[in-house]
Parts: sequence; structure tokens; C-alpha cells
Amino acid sequence: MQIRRKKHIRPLILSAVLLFYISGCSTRTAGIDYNRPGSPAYGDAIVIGSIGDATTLIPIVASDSASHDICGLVYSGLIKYDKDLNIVGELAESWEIEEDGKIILFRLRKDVKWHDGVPFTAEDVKFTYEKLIDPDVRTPYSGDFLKIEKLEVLDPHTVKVIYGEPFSPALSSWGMWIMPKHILKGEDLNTTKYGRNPIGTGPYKFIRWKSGERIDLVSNEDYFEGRSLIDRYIYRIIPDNATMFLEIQAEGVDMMGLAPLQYQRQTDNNFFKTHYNKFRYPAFGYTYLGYNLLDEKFKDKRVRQALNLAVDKQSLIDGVLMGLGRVCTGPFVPESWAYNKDVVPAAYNPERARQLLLQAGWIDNDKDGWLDKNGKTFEFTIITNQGNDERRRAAEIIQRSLSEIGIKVKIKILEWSVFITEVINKRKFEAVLLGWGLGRDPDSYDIWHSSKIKEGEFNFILYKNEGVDRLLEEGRRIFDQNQRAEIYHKMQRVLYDEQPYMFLWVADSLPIVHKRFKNILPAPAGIGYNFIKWYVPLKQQKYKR
Amino acid sequence: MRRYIKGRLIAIIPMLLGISLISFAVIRLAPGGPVELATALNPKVSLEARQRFIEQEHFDKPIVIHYGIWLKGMLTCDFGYGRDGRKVIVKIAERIPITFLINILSIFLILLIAIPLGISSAVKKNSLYDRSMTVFVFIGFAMPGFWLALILMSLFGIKLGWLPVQGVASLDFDNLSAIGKFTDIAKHLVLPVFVSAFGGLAGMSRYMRSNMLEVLHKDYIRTARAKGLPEQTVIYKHALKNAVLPVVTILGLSIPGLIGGSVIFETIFGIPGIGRLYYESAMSRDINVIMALLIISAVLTLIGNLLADLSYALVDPRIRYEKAN
Repeated sequence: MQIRRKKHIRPLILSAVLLFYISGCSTRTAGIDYNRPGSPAYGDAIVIGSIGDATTLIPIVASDSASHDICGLVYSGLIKYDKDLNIVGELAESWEIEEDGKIILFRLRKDVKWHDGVPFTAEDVKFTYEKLIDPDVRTPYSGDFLKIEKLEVLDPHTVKVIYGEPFSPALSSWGMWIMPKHILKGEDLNTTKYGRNPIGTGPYKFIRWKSGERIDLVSNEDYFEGRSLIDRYIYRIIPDNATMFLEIQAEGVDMMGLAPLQYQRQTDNNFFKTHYNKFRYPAFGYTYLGYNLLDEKFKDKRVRQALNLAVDKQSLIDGVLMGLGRVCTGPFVPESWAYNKDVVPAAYNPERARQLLLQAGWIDNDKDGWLDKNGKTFEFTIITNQGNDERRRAAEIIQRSLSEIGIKVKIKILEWSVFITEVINKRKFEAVLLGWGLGRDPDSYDIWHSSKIKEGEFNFILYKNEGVDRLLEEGRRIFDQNQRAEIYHKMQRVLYDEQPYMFLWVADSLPIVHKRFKNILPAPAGIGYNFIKWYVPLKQQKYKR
Repeated sequence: MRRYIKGRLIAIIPMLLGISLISFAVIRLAPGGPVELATALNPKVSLEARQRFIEQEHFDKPIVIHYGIWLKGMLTCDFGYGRDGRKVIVKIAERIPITFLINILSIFLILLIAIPLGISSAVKKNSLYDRSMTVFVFIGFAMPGFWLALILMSLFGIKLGWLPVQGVASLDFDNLSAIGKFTDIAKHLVLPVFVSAFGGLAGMSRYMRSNMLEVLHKDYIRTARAKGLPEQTVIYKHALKNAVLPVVTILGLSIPGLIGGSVIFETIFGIPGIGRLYYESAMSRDINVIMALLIISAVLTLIGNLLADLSYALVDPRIRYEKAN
């Protein structure tokens, strides 16, 4: 009887039950052992999952990360960063820095051809420069190039760049992708059709772009550093992270960036262990709580130090990032040569925090549980942007930690555009929780220099310290890396002591890549630096050309 | 009749002007300005570059002047350029087919299921069948679409591997034969169409049921039954025709919805449709794209209303517009 009953369970109920039990793992068995190393071979395709679509592939106009992903493969710059984050030549074979850095002389490679076969020359560099400083071109990157006094083409393979004053981030700025003069001459770069049909010098050639769906590239056989081993690059736009994670389980995507929860829990099963490799390295950016330094409460350095002591950064990282990050101790990431290892994060110490606040005059006079001074309760609002769950949760943990030392915190979450134009640009905030993405060069003049406080500029917390100003100015005059490192080490020490931001964390990048791709070697620069040397052994190749 | 249509069509013009002015003002008055997610807080981007960008977007000008610039383009049917430098009209045109296809299929599926469901529920009013159908359609109505979508994707896309997880075409779509392409697209459409139709079943079937119930209480139905007509004839010939009338109105009103996509739905299924375009444009205050989409849907709404009124006259002999004069 019991057996019969079981048979009679309606399929509908069965499937409903099934739905609740679907776990992350696939039941399909794979016939291929992806653990075998195999030997390098040309062929196959890599499918990248991206949340956003590119906007334009004119490199000096493109500003979002999706456009940059594609531009990075289609175009090349004069210089690039190697795996240890040193500047090496790309289109430039070598360069000389003359007159203490006022002049940079680039010698270009002679063996480079555009994807349409036309040779690359110094005229292309000049053209790109002219477009960068052309006020009619909607480029966000004119800043560094407006410092150039004159750019001369000495011969088809030599370019002389003359600056008004020594400017060491200049070399890094020449990582800017160079555009083809013969194609784009006479085009309006804001609206040109080549924005969706680019011609570059990079390792991959553009094939096509289906809006909101995919972008296809194919390897450039004449690439000057050698043809890339992976034949095709398919950039698949999947706007929802949960969907993308399903697609990676269906092996419809070969590479994506994981969220901490996906990295720690959802990929911790047999399917992922046999089909994918996970990587983990610090991302180039940090998250912070910035104070409005015009606010009376935050003017006192002791108060800012107290707040820093009252928030346990490690438990913040454990709670928000599931441990996948590091405590931030200043405006540089640990991988950078500018980072000062000797600045140790202040240990969590609410007792010391209370003492500092007491010294600053904050005490609970009216016995309501909150600190006050001159009859005013210590309360402030943390504002952050909508759509970033990590920031919201961090704000909540900070709220909880500060309530324990008697500080009342409110949280406000605003849509991005409103946040930027109404809150940041107009300085209508007490504290903001935000992040900076960093370039490879440590120059952070725009964020910390006291001259950068106009509406819309980036020192929106209105930080002013003459010592830091001087260090920033010096840091961008000197070209020697060791000397610069010393300057930035000093600056980091001052900033961590002054606490204009509560430096929170440097999150980890968590890419996952299908196991058939070999020769992925994590380094300080991440994993993408040797992409053209990644390969799939013949037997494991999945897509035909 | 012709005069009536002409009058209605002429009335559309001032209405469109009003709609566009109000929409434009609302977008401009909303807090926030044109920002690009990527450059808003990029230290490499200078203040001058961002100010120039705001000027090029005309956001530094008074609303009236900005509206004038936009309207001038509109008069020559030029919706202008989007933030990415592409013509707005091109951006919209490439998104319409997929949204339109899914909406048409989904409406068709809803009608196909909801009308018979509504009729049978009305006929067997308050029976076990009626009640279980009510529960069923309301489950569909109440279930969050994104959740159902993810569960079905997980079941059919990964567990069973019968259907693709997301997107509108396979990676190797171009190498497929004509038949292969057709089945590939069909496979990709199964889940999106099902999920969007499932949520819409409740409304339509309830509507159909109550219409039918109302009609079944009418005198002429009693007359028909009294005449001794078979129940089938009473229901399908006399009752159905009258009960279906209001559905025609709903169909007319759903015309603008045909090119309106749902953001959540298109995002989950990775469908490059209108909904995503609209959302992305709204987030970055890309006013040309937003306005173009609003104007198109305003035109379709106005035309849809007109069509609904006209088709009413066609199906219901009691309504005659020319006699109104």
C-alpha cells in the first residue's frame, strides 16, 4: 500500500519539490579530463561573461569597463604594464627621458601594422594626441595630455613629447590606446561608425557587435608580439549576475568575476572543481568612509582616529566580503610599489576610542546613551549609492560598531546620478561610503591636493594638508621609481595618521576561468597580462573556428 | 465615421506636444544630472572634460531652451543622438523586434489559455474546478517573475539541459541551418514567453470569467435557454460574443505595451530589448533616448485608444460614432 501511494504522488508536486532542491551542481558528466596539461595549440574560443555592454570602441571616448575590455584587445598603447606592474614598451620599442623629464622621446616599433594592413607610424600617435586635446571630442582623458606643450614627429618612427614641466605620470598616460589616422581622419569621433567597427593594432581583430548580446573578436595573425593562441574571443553580455552564474554552470560562459558568496560557497562543489579554476588577487581599488572635513564634528583629528579605532575592519571584511579582502591602510593597494608596508592598521580598540572622544570633549552628559558636546548629540548620516550591496552592509556594520561607543549613525542610500550631482558635487554630506578604482601610477593629486576642491573635483571631503600637498607635487615631478616610492610612503603614513578617510578594505578580484584554458599565471598584475599566451590543448578544445 | 477619425487624429497633435513638454520637464527637474557611471568618480577625468560634457548635453541650459532644441529636431523627425554617439532611432530599432516578438507571443498565449479558462470557470461557477483554476492563476499572478525565471532556468537549463539558460541565440547561431536557426530561437523563447504569460493569466482569465458571468445573467440568455437551445449554442453563440467585447478594448490598450519591455524580465533572461535600453537611459539621464521612447509609446497609446474605440464600433452594432454629431 505504501509503495502504491508513492507511485501516486502527482508529478506536479514532485516537480515542485524538485524545484526547491535544485542545487548548484550539474548532473551532466563530462567526458574530458580538464586536469591534463596538454601542449600549447592554436584554436578554440573563450567566452567572457560581462554585466554591461560596451558603449563605443573609439578608445579615447570610451569610459566604461566593458568598452575598455574590448579596446584593450583591439588597440595597443605606446607602453603597457608587465606582470610585476613595471612599465614596458608596447608600440614603443624604447624611450628616453630628457631634461629632467620635460621631454620624452619615444622610438616606435617598425613592424606594426593596423588590422587593415596599413603600417603604423608616428603620425598615428600625433593624430591620437590631437584628438585627445580637441575640445569637440568627448574624451574624458584630456587632462594628462593638456600638459603637453608640443608633440613633434621627428621621423616616421620617433616621437618627441615636450612638457611644460616635468610630469612623471606622463609615461603611464601613454598607455592610452593609439588610433589609426588613415581611418579616422575627418571623422567625428563622437558619432563615427568606426565606434562600432574599430581598426586597431592589438592582438584581436573586431568581427561584429550585437547590441546588448555579444561582441566577437578574432585573433590577429600579424600581431607584433605573436599571434594569440586562442582564436576567438566572445564577449557575452548577461546583465544579471545570478543568470550569469547559471550560464557558467551550463558552461555557456568560460570566464566571469565571482561575488564573494559564489567564490566561498556556491562554487565549492565537485562540478566546479573539475571544470573551473578560481583565482584570487587584490583588486586595484579601495573602499573608504570619507568625512566632510568642514563639518565641526570631523574637524578634530582625535575624533576621526577614534572612529577608526571603533570599527573592526577585519570583521567588516569577514561580514561583507566573506573574508575575501584586506584591511586598507592608505590610498595605495598592497601590490603597488607606492604602498608602505610599515603602516600597520590600527587594532580594534573601542576603549581607546572612548578616551580620544573624551579628550575631544565628547561625553554623555544627559545620560541618554549617546555622546554629546555643547548640548548636541554626536550623530551623523552615512550616504552611499544604490545598487552596491557591499557598501550598504558595510554602512550597517559601521552603524552598529559606532553605536557601541555612543555615536548615532543614520544611513541614506541614493541613486547614483542624484548621489553624484546633489551630494558629492555639492558637498551635502557628513560622511560618504565610496570606493576609488586606481590607476597603475600612484599619483593621486586629484584626490588629495588642496587645490582640487572645486565643485565637481575629487577632493570633495575638502582635505587640506600642506605637507601632503608638497609630497604630491614632488611625486609627479620625479621620474625615479625609488625616489617616488619614498615620497608616497611618507604620504601614506601622514594620511593614515590624519584619517581624512576611514580606510576600510581592498577587495579581492575573484575571476573564475574554465579549466581547459592553460598557462594562466597569477601575478601582481592579475591574470590578464599574458592572455595571448593562454591556450587550450587540442583534445580539450570546444569551439571550432 | 471618417470625420470622426479625422478629428481624433488631429487631436493627437496638441496632446503629443503636451505629453512631450511634461515628460521633458519631469526628466529635467528630477534630481541628478547626466552622469556616466564610469567617469563620474574617475580621478583621471578632469573637471573641464565633465563640464564640457554637460554643455554638450545641454543640461546647463534652461529647460525651455533645451526643450526647444529637442523639439526642433523632433519636427524633422530627428530624435538626435544617444550618449554613445549613435542615432537614437537606430538604437531603438535594433531593440524593438525581440521585445515585440516576445510580447506578441505572450499575449497570444495568454488569450489562448485565459479565454477558455475564463469561460469554463464562469460556466462551472464555484465548482471545485473553478476554485482550483482561481488558485492556479493567482499563484501565477503572485509569484515573483524573476524567481520563477531563475528556478526554471536552473531546472531546464542546467539540471535537465533541455533549454538554453538565457539569451536570444546560441553562441554558434551563425553556423546553423535555416531550420536550426529557427529551432534555436524557439528554444530560447520558451522560458521568457512562458514566464511573462504565466503572470498575465490571472488578469485576463478573471476578466473573461466576470464578463461571462455578467452576460449569462442577461435576459437574452434566459430567452435563449427558454427557447430550448442546446447549452453549447447558448454559451458559444449568444454569450461568448458579448463577453469577448471588453477584451477587445484591453487588446487595443495593450498596443503600447507591445514595444514596452520589462526591465527585470529582460535583465534576468539576458534579452537585449526595449526595457533594458529604457532603464539604462534613465539611469544615465540620456534624455534623447528617454524622450524618444516616451513619445513612441505616447503615440502608440493614443492610436491604441482610437483603435479600441473603432473596433468596438465594428464588433458592437449599438455603437455608431457618426450619429454622435
